[in-house]
Amino acid sequence: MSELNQLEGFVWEMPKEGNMNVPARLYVDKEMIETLKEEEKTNWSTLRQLRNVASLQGIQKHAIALSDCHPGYGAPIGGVAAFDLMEGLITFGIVGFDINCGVRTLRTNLTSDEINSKKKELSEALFNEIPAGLGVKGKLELKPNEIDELLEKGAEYVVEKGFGLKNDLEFIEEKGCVKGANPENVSMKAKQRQFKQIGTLGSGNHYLEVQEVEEIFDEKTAKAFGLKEKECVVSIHCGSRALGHQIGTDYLEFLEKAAKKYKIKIPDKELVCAPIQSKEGQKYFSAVNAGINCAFANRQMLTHLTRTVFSKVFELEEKQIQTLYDVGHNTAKIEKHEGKKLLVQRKGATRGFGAGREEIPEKYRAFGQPVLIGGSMGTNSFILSGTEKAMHETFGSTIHGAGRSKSRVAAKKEVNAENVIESLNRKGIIVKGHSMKGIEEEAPSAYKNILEVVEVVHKTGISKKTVKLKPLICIKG
Amino acid sequence: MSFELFEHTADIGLRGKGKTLEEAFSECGNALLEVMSFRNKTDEKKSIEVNCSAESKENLLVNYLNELLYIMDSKDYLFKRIEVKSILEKEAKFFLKAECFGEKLDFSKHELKTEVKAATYSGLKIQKKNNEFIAECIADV
Repeated sequence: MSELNQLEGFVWEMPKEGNMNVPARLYVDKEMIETLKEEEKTNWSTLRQLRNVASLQGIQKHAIALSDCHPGYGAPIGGVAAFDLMEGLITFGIVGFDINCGVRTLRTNLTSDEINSKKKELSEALFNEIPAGLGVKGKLELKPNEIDELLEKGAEYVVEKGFGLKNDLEFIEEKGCVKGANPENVSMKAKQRQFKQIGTLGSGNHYLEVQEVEEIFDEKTAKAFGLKEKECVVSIHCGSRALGHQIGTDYLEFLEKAAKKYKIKIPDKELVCAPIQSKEGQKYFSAVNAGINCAFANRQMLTHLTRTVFSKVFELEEKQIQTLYDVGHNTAKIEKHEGKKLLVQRKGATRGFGAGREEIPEKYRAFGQPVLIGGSMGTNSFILSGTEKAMHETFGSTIHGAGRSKSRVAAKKEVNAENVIESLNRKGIIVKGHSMKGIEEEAPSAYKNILEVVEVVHKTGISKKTVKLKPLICIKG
Repeated sequence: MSFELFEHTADIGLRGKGKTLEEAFSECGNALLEVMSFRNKTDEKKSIEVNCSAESKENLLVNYLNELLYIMDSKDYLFKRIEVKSILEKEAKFFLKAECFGEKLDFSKHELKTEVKAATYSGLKIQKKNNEFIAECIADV
């Protein structure tokens, strides 16, 4: 049983013991601590996975789990670990298969009354136009040389092709293109799977939601982000699709061999890794960067499709739909923290930089980076802003969503898709899904309470609540 | 020969059982198909041969499941049933040959469930208990 010491209200420490190189830090409430302790008695434990991450070579300060944490494969979801560039490792277990899965939020400048007046028509148009679900094809089919360009340029490539506005790029993390992507290190198999998948939503927990600004907590920041009460935004949650999954698949054995070659002791087979500076580590990192760009491109294409639907349904100009921000939550990035360059690896965790950082778009820089938090289906989502405190404590990182509390198997046993849809309909939320089973697995009861999860980071000061969003239409992959 | 899906908070566990290692692997493949689709809606119109290799039996299981995902995705195919024909060990390497029965993906006919991103190294286990082979791993969904 792990020792957990309360440092302050919602901040807990698991002291360094055994093979751990650093302690672990948890941002959770008391009830979550009890759940984590109970969970430690079972096969899948966040605390054990966190200890394993803390034992990786070159890890800095502490391994972090945030209030949305739950067991993943290898490393916990809702986790952050930063590594020294010279001594540290890049590990598959943190980045995972869905590279740069993230959220893009668009401002529509339409009020909820306007949306509600055409809600049915809008939901049907979105459902028909946004390619989603298993096996579906996107509207932009690429040739092999084109996909290489896309992997190097990210969202910029899609905008150049005419699917987006130039200023979309300004409001994407890394301006939609991370440097250091090398398409040569991405297999033909991975590329082949992506030719037809650019601009597809995927399935599982991926979604597109039309949301109303229900409550404003921080007037000044909300204004800077262009948000007004009762106005609506669209949030798109998806990742690098099959290309990212295949990069993961391809590098599993590769990194296992690298770990053996460099005699790295790994506490869990899924934490296969390589030293960042090794040629294997660099090769994997360049492939991850290609995956990151692929996800930016994917969300850009979905942004374009969303604009097309809105402009048709509401007879408005496409430029009325503006990108508020786009941020990933499964990434590995070189960032400067307290004067030192580190490789920050986030799994189900969002970058949430405090005010003043040059990575933040100029328009928002004085207010902190927008952090886009997806709730579970039918529940609230949030837009937070990054804080200085996060820069000191969590390598400028925060939560990504509610976090699962029940397995998919358990969720399906308890609910029935039709009942879920009906009960959400009664609350005024239209849900459209490509898979009924998917809706059962994603039922709100399978997730933690988003309000509690957000409260922990807000009260701790890791990020600040800006607005609360309420779903009106939900399109599930 | 049978399979089961077991619980994991974020993802899903696949477990295949059989009298031989081949049977256990076949069933693990069938478990994967069960996560993805309603298999009774798919017909066995054609078979596709799948070959893969790895340096351990455990890695072979992951490579094989991921190869199934790759083939279905890149060929727009949906499998109903997998039959692993052979698993051979040669010079410290393991080789698998499987026959996969199914048909072209047809949205008007097939009922799909959840997309599987990949089979992972997490919870990866192959064991023999009371003359029964059990192969299991966690799939990322």
